[in-house]
Amino acid sequence: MASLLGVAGGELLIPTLVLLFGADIKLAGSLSLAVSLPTMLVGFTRYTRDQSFIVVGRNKIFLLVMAAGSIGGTFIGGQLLGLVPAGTLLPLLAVILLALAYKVWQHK
Amino acid sequence: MTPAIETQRNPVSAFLGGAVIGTLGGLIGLGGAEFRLPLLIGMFRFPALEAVILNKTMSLIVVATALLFRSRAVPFADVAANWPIIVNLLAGSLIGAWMGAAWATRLKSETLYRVIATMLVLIAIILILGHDATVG
Repeated sequence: MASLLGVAGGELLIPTLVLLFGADIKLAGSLSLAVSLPTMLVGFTRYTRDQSFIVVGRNKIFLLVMAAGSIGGTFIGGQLLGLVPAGTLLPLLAVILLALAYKVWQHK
Repeated sequence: MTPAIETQRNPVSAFLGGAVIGTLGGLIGLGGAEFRLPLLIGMFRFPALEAVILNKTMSLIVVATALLFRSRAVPFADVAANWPIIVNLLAGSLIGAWMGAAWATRLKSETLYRVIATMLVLIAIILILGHDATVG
């Protein structure tokens, strides 16, 4: 399911870890990454077989620059991890996601 | 490719977009992929399947580094100590990842947009439910 979106599935893994395994939200975040990485490699491998995969080669610079930006951001996010309470974080992200979902649905 | 799209995809906006998404992702322990995908479609105008594949590729890079950065707040030892949970979840997720990717490559673009939008809503709901559960 997560692979369909090209996402890691972390958004599903974190609640699973918290609810089913009783993990602390911050530990759950790291655990979900540890599960995501191999999972994404598998989905990625499947996509390399598809014709649309040439998009990766065609947008190599775009891809690397955006990934670099993401990594920089991840670093900032990681630094803020001790500062921002998880309680305010999740509802905020949920609202952002709803707005984005609306935009994608409208897309023609 | 039209000139308008060329400028929309310039490295500066790609970097900034990536940075904002990475910050959100790093905070919550996601690769930020669920925020990046709508951006690739809405702002950078990639077709659905191409956006998904690009997103996947970037996620791979980002998740690997996120795990490193988080080791400051959450030590590797704590993660490793929970290996049974990791293995448990991997068993299902690896199979799902392969099937999901296979399915996505066969879907019509229009359908894929709808599927993506629906899943973003689901993710938002799950985030809120997960939040309630942790708060008590």
